[in-house]
Amino acid sequence: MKYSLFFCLLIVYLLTPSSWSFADTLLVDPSKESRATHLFKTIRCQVCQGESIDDSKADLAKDMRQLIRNQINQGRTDQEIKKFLSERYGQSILMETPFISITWIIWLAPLLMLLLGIFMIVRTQQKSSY
Amino acid sequence: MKYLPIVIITLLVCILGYVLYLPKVPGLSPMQGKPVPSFQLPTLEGSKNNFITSKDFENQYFLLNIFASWCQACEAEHPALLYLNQKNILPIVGIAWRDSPEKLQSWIQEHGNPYTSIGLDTTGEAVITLGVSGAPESFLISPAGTIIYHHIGPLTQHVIDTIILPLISTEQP
Repeated sequence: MKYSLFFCLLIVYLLTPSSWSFADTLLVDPSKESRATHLFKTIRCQVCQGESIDDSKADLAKDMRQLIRNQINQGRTDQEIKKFLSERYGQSILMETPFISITWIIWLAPLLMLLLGIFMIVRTQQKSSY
Repeated sequence: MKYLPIVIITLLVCILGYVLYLPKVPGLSPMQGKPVPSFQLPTLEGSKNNFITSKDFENQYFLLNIFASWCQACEAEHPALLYLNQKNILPIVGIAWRDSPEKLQSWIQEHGNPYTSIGLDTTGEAVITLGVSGAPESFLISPAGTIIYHHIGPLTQHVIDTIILPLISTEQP
């Protein structure tokens, strides 16, 4: 009973147009496909920005996955592919913010906040001890 | 000294907000100031040439418009493109994204054709090469083949009059 329900749901899912549009053409070489999948997780979807292109069902994300696969097949490195995309969409396309001139503040802000907190605690204690 | 922590926190929040907001500011597209990236697309039957390539965008101003027959915002934008075309100032080249030639032909017949040629990007490769996030988007290209303005979203008559046309007149010698 459980299996028949599972297969019924699977058939319904496969007949749904959304599942067709989500189907990608995978790379023949499994190591290249695994590299591509790893790369998809590092690229932010430009349609639904909270998701990586690996999770996204948007058409643009699907096109990006295919473009990345093509570039891997052409022999481009991961860094070259990330550079290609960030030159076009800005650094925000990378899920992990790089440590560069305009983003250093994002990386250092927690440390600065911590130092400020310590400074405030020390100052308060010094004042109360007088 | 008493207000120093509040001043520092306010300053940090402002800088963080600015850094996070920066890529979304209109007119600050990473594509602006760059040459048109390399791409080649087959054209819709009836266009002037068989292919559109990035090398075609030289020696005069061009407006490159990304659109699709399935896109409702493109339908809303279309009168603005027809308005620009009537002015006869620059050729408008279209790139139809994820569209079929049949649907495109009937859409053009229904809404009018402001384009000198239309390229068909069925895979989205050229669209991503141009740094496009969605349809419609437009690029104003200088005679040197440089993108001087990237408009995200539908063009309006107001945008054409206040941004596109002044950019052309100020850049011209």
